[in-house]
Amino acid sequence: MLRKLNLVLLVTLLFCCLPVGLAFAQEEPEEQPVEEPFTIYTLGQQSLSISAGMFIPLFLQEFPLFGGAVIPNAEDDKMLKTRVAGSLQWGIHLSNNWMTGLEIGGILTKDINDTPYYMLPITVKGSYIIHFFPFEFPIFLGTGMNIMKYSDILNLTWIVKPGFSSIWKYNINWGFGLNVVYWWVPQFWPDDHTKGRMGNFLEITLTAQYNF
Amino acid sequence: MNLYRYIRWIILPALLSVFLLGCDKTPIFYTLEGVYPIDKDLGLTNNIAVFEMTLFSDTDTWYFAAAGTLYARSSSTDSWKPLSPPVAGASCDTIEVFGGLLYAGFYEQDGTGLGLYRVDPDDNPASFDDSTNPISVNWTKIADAAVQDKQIGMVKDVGGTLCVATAVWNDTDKKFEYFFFSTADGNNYAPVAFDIAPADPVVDSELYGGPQYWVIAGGDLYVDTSAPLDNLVLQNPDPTEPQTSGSFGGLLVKGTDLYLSAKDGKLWRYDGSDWDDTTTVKIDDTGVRFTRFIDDTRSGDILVGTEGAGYYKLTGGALSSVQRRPSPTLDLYKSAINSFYLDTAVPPGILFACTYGSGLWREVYDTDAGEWKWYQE
Repeated sequence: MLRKLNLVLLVTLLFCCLPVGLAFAQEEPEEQPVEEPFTIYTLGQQSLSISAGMFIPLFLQEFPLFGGAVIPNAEDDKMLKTRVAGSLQWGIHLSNNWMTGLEIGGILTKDINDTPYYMLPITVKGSYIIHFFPFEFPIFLGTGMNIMKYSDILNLTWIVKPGFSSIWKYNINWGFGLNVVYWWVPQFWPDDHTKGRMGNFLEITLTAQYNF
Repeated sequence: MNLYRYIRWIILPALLSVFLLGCDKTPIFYTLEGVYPIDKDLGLTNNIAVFEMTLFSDTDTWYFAAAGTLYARSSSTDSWKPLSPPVAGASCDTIEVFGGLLYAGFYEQDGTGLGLYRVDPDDNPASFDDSTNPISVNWTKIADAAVQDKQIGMVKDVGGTLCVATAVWNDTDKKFEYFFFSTADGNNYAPVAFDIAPADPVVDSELYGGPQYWVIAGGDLYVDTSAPLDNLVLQNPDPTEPQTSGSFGGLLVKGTDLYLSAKDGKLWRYDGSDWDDTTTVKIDDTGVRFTRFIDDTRSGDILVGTEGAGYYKLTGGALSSVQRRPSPTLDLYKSAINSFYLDTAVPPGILFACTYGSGLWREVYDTDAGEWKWYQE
């Protein structure tokens, strides 16, 4: 009776280990064609990213875009201080190279008198991914609405966020890298056109990406 | 599917509309462009409560600020120094310059009144040695029994008469009793009678017209219609006189008008015969708690402080033109302003705002920027 039980346990263990062994066998690098990229995306594959890093205020500019006077955020952080930025992104692959998605970002900084200033952009994003195994270089453009709060003042603006990333693929699911994103925030002011300004900022963040 | 349509076509636009309506009519980037460093770091802590300030000008020119500790700053220096109190650890909330002397009411840390003191800041270094830190002061205590060892709530020069409000604890009735005195020479204090005793301390007084002494205490408005100031009659049992559900905040005479503020959002103007009032000024459906006035002779406007909403400007003194100030980007915008002081000796004038918890602020004209700017002392 005891011998029968041992046999059943052994068979059960073998069945349990078989899929694990097969899975590891599938990830053997020598089975991948050398010239192929490590990851290949297909329609419907999704990704989640979380990013955090630095937010650098660059300058404000009067309208028009070409020719409007530039008001620099001087060396001593005259208007806004360099502080933190972060974002969460969901994306869906359309092909191996194209991806679209949504991004919710946020920055928190202060002015020279330590008055808090927040921005919360919610953008739709399109990316073109250049593969260079084991790296990926997405070039992207996001646009959407931007909620701004400074002291007690609340504004809603449009935002455009072009940028690029360099991602090192740790494995089939995970990638890690760096984002460099330009924030262009035009604030039109129809009540008084002379008060319209364009905000120009730079985001440099580290990112972790999960594909599934 | 129906739910999806509702979300897409009704709920999301509705939410966006509500959000847009909630946005302010001030452009943030344009506002940011005007930001400048406000902290001049002149030695006063930025979060202290400053109750009153005044200017003494004779041989020397000194600013004094009563902030619990009494501070002084020579107009030629950029640093505030504390003054030694008459009793170690004593505090001061009210000061006034009268007859070439600085008067200050002191109390002990437990609230016990020490009475009224005075000093000649020009008498240096005999009784006012500003080479020391804190400045060594030999205070002279006013010996008149009216103010001696009393809690001094207010000391103010009202048209050449020094008025002093005191509070005395009545141990039998277990409550404070409030008194008011006047003096022409600073030595002999005559009691000012009330026809109906106030339940709150006197907080402000003004001389109006020829002559009327107006006094406010809590929600009571008194007047003495003849000099000398000795007999106050309660005015506002009469419903045609200003009424407040809270208490009055301040009085001001400008030209032929008398202004009165209250802590329920109301402002009044009296032209000698009738009272004119604003509609109630509200923030989030609550009346603004107005405090003291200042006649800003630099611009011809009247400013009135508040408890927690900065100050309001009455352009040219018109009640209909009341506007909240200063810029929302400054802490002063949300501060409680106890009082103002305007120094007109230095053209084009320097305005001081004494706040509760946000220190002392100074508004000066920036010739480079071509605008008035507030700085924290």
